[in-house]
Amino acid sequence: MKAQRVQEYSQFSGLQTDYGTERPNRRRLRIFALDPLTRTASNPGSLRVTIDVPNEDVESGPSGGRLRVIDYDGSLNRYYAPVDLDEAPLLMQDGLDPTESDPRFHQQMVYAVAMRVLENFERALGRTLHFKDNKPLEIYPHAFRGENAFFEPTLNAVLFGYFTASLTDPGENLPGQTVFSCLSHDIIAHEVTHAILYRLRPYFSEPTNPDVLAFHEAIADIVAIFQHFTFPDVLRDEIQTHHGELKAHGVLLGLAKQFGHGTGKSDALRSAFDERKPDASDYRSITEPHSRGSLLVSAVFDAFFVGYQRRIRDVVRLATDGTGQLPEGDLNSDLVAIMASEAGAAAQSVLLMCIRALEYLPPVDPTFGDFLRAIVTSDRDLYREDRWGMRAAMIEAFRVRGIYPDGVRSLAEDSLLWQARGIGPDGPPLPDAAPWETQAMPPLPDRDLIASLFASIVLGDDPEEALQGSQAERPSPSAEERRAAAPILQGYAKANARRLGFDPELPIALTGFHPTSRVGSTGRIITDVIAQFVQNLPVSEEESERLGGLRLRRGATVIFKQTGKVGYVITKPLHLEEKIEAGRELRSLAMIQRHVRSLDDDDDEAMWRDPAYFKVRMLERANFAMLDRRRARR
Amino acid sequence: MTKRPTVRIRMYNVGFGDCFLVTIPAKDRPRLILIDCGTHPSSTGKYRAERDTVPLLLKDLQEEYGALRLDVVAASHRHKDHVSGFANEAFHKVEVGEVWLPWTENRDDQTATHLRERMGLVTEQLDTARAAAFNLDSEAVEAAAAVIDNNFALRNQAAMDMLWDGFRGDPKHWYISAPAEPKTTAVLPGVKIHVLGPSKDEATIRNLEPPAEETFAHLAAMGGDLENGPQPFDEGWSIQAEQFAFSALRVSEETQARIRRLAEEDLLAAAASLESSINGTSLMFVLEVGGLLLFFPGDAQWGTWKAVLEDPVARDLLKRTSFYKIGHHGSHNATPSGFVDEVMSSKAWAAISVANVKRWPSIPLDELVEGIRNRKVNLVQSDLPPAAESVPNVTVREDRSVDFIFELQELPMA
Repeated sequence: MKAQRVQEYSQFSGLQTDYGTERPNRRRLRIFALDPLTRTASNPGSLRVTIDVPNEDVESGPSGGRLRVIDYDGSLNRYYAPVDLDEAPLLMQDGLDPTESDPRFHQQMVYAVAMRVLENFERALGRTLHFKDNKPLEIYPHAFRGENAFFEPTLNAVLFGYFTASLTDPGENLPGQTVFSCLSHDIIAHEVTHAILYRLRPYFSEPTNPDVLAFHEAIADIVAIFQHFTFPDVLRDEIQTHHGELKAHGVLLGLAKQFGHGTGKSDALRSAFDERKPDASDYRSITEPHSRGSLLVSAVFDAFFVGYQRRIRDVVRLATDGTGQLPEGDLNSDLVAIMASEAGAAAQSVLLMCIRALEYLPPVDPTFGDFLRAIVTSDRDLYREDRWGMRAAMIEAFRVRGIYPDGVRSLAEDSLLWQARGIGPDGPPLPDAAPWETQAMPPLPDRDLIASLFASIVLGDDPEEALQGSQAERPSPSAEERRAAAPILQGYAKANARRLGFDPELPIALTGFHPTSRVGSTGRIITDVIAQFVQNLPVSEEESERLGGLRLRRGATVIFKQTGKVGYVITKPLHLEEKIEAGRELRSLAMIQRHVRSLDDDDDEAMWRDPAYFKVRMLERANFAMLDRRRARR
Repeated sequence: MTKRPTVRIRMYNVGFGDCFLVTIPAKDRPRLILIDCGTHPSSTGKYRAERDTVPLLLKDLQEEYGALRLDVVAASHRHKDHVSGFANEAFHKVEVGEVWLPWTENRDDQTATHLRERMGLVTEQLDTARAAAFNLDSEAVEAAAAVIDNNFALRNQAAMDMLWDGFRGDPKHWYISAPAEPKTTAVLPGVKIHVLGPSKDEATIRNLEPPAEETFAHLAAMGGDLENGPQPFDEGWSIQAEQFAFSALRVSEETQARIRRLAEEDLLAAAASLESSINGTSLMFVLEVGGLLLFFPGDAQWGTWKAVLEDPVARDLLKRTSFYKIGHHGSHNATPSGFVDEVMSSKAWAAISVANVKRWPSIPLDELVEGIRNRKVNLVQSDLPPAAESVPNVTVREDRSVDFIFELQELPMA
């Protein structure tokens, strides 16, 4: 059919576009906004929305380039009928109508939301993401019966469970109704974010300090909740209902409402808004990963609220004859529309700010303080002027929760920036007393190579293709360029081992590198090459068991500018002996051991497991299935 | 030279379980406190509390003190490995002065009754799910079955009934909750009891609440009769895995295996969580006799411990303590490392009552044992008693019991 049509059209040589062969950029798909329980004041029924995602070839499943939905039910050993999104009726009406009773709609919704998450990451990171070995991430919308959903790194898969809502306390669900975790926008976004973060920083699932797992959870929650602000209908309704006040306990800030209700919690699973006044002791006292993660989430949301208030201040003044006091009763609908669009813009900018910061983190052992420094540095790279004061707001929100980056002298923006210097007296890396090297890092010797990496992302190998391609299809460096670049970067790390916090006697692995390009506030394209290096320390079997299977790693992220100069180095040295300098304890084996012991103290399960499990208990504790199971229980 | 009065702690060998008899000297006659008497159903030790230890204990009472009388019976919590011995009817013959139980055992307390009922119900449901849906050939399932068994209140009822109203002498019941002022009692002249747990604040009660029934309702639905089990969609939406035609969408074997394992892990997690809820009700107290401090933490969990380690008064008491019963048979989660490293007093004695169970090689935990020894604490394990007469102040009776002897300056006075 198609070939014939192309031929028929070819007689019209003057046609400028051919809608028969040219692919539209976007695909529109309908989903439940948030989940089947989500209602707003003007929508008493389940709220449905249409979202658009990058268009790609999809087979039945849907099965696309980077996501493959496989509807296998392991509890029943059955498959559900897969959806084909390219069927004409579905293309005409933005996919299937949202319904709980058709598994094909479930497949459509997980695909749509997962694509949206992927797109947000790509937009922020300025590059295309691929999962490991270029294989698609597998998504199982009905993998098992159970109150859980999780990302499984070894399978490169996200597995969603379904369960029966409580008979005695089902909240807004019907008693005994089936609750599908794959119909929760938030759970999908949360789990897919785990998968992407794992791809970006695989060692962030090794819990070497109390922040590591919490960080994974926090980023997953941040992405899930900020995506709520991309649904204009929901946003407008909430702004009208709560009189412009977004902090109110509403639909927007709650996470996974139906899941929370279904498990008898009569509330959303978590909320971005912490009703308690933030307390500087929280960061010390709260250790359970989800709760600790919530600290970071609420800090980021504080900053967002500040940005939103600043953005709407002028329009509110205009609308209130300069008083700034909104009148009683319903708000003017134009005003609501403007406030909603400002809220959406503020949310998008904070979300991108958080995602971009991920590239500015060390490859191992992240802390919340590192994340603050990464946010400040990466944001300042693009937007030096900080128009809405978001960086200042972010710093303040972290401060009131007692989250301070390690080893900075003040919380001024300048002090928080990562440096281009090798590690100095603040972070001595090695057992031997080497003289501290604090001078600037030397540039990368081979600049042509960097230039060719840049050319490949800015223009692509085939300039024609690059000009046509949508943002998501921006080409990544060819295998050849990568092969050429790797030894040069590796050589750089070896030559500067000490300054990067490594032991020059031990091998240093280049664990990842990629160019990235973003448009800064001045309209210039900013391109960097980001390289991650990791050094593994030898560990005896006995020590490994004591560490519950954790490996001892040093790491460094180096951000090279287009010119080959070093923009920033972000290092994680590791001492074998306990070390205190200038009143500050440096990262050491003893610190990791302490963390392992503190988790042992509060683990009621490990002792009942087999001995093999006990040896790798720290890795198992980071197992997302186990983590999320605990979340459900506590 | 007159002999100084002594306090004796006798640790009976009950296998994987606890049974301690404390003898405190007094002017008229020595006072006796029995703390726990039980053996885990999975214990592989030679002796079991209900079968072997109770007769020995009664014989000891008769021979040494000439009467079947205990001044205090304390049961730290309602797990079999702490109370199974009380199901032995011979206890009906024993006259008891006071019974100490955690507040959660108070039948007149609504919150406590609710908790007990929930714990009982959850155990039964969990066991039903396990029996219906799981094969015992998996390690996780086998472990879960053993844990569930230890929690079975129904099969444990006889022991609890004994503690509530089975002893002779119409004993008074003291349902203990922390925090409380140090207490004295007429049946133990000169003894002060410092109560450290279990707490009765709201957060603690929330923690004691066993997992919600729905949390593992799916376990019962797993396995079993798959064909007729509950299905999330109407008939016709799904087909048997073997018949599925879309070859690009086939599930890998690893994924299948992972999903199967998931349910087993859920089962074990639910069992462990239940176990830990009940452990959380454990009595934790220090007995003070003429300056001598003896510590019995039951199987208290991190919640109780955390409060204790943060309380300077309690911390100070534990720093001066001469005898530590190590919680939960020496497993890692009943003795925080911070307690071992910072609080335990060197030269003190410590006891682990345990029998090695093959399935649980990390109980007792080598690292904990090593940590305690590094603190120069004298550690005795019930299943590996030191050779008789090899250690001063310790008396070993073959493989039946170990006595720890502490001298006092003078007789304790009321």
